[in-house]
Amino acid sequence: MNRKQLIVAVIVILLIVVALTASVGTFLATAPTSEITYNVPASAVRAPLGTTASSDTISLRLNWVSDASKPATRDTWVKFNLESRLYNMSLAPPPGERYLVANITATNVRPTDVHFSYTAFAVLTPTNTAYYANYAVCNENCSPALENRTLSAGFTSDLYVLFSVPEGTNADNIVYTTSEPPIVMSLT
Amino acid sequence: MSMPCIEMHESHTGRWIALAVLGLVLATLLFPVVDGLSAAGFFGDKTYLIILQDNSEMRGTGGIIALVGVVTIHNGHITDLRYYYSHTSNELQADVYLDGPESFTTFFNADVALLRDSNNQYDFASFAPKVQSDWYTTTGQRVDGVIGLDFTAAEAILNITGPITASGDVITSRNVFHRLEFYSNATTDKSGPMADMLSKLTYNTFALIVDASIPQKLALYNAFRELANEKHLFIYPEVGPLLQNADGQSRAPEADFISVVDTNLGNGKSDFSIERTIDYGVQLLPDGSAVSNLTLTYTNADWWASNLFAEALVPPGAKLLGAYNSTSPFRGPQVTNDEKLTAFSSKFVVQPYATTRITYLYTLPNRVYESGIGSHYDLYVIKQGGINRYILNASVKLPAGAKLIHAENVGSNLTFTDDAHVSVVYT
Repeated sequence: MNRKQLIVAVIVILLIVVALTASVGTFLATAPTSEITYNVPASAVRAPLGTTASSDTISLRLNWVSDASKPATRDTWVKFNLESRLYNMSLAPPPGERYLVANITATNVRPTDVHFSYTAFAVLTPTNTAYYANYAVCNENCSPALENRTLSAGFTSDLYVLFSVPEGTNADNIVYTTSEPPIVMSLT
Repeated sequence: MSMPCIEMHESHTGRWIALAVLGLVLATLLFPVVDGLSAAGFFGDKTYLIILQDNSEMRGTGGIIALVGVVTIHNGHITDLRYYYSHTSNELQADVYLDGPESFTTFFNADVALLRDSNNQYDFASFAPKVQSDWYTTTGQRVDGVIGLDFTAAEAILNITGPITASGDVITSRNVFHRLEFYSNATTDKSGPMADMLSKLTYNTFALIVDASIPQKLALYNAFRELANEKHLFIYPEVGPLLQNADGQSRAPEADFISVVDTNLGNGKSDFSIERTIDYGVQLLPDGSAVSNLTLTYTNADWWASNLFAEALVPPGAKLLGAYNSTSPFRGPQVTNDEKLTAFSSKFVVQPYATTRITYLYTLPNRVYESGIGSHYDLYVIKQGGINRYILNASVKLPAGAKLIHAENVGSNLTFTDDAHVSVVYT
């Protein structure tokens, strides 16, 4: 190979490398992420652990958050999972994940039925990554409300809401995203 | 004077060879494209059944049927999509005849099942043509193929499409499984939100296939290829070389093989939390026959018991010498044979936070093949569709005096998410 041919070959290789890098860059820039960012609006009401905060339809109090692998948490979950009579939810998380269970007291503050769904709860990290709830259970009387997504007038009950988060996640808040305004409950 | 003529002749030959090679290369590149375009409805509309299998509750082909969809594709775009919920749609409640397998129909003395519960075959490729036919008999609608996917595939696809919002809920790869379970098990009809969620996911996936950049398409293709290899995604019939073997057919060459096909009978949704281990020890004898010791171990990490029916498929001609279960009572073993396989079938319970083992001791006819290098023994472990992973402990004892040349995948605690190949060469 003479000098001219060598230069041409080097240029071609460089062009290929640049094209590949650009393609990968384009992909990384446009690939959807599986994580969600939730920016808490300024209007949100906030409640420290163990205190109650209200929106237009409901009030919420975060009583505790615990890892589902702890025997006491597991036993509590199993008791209410059985009472809910929907389906048995495994407490063995997938590899790389951990399950957190939050005990939250929910109350209907209106004299009429109000819409409510556990699916609107999300664990928040300090960087605003949101992990939306996987499932929730409660006692036998309360379970139809969870399934039908409606709290009747005078409803109040403890809920056990389960979240799947990556191992090592530093969670600091739980937010109920669909009330007006949203309710942010601190883990501390 | 003759030399230029010869040179010209050689030159023409060279051109023809070059053209032929170019033609072959183009054909190799174009055939998959043509296949793909045809499957995507570019040469006429294509209609497919979409079978969503819940692989937390195993059935032969990869999980109990949670939902069935019918999608029509025109020029790569969805023109019609409808989902049928297993528990409420009349179409899926229809009775259909079971055409086997014998190990299942004999054990349960059953030859009829609901359409939504008729996927008890050993693999998806055996079920797909039957469900095409049953669907036509039940609804009068013909479909061109069947796409099967399970909850693991739904999670993987959501990782690519990103989260979706359906019926007011934010669905991510982390919560899609539990949301599907919730809808599947609700005491009131949740077919609306479930179909809404699946429709959004289907439209988003097709939009990504059509509209994504080339690198994204490659990422999507790789994800589909991996899901197909690991038997969480099936496309029947095969769509050319690009998704070869995506029909889910169990392909065991002429060699020793093990295929464990589990059915979860307890409506327990426990299969994600059951760790499956296959311990296989084989003693090769000088005449090429073998004595095999197969132990299936199930460790339940869940808080409820799991009621399992396990069909262990091994080569034809296997003779069962004994079956043992040291951990709990079991019903079986039932032995059935045909020209392709022998099935040892048993039914047992795996208690919460407990382990159940079942061992089969059997002889095999000649499974060793001679070649120029020496004697070859190969074992293929065929993973059941829907199972996420299993552990393989394989040991091979050579005939007395034999000398090992090469061994692959022989050892302990080998974790697989797809089929495994154990190979031993000796003299």
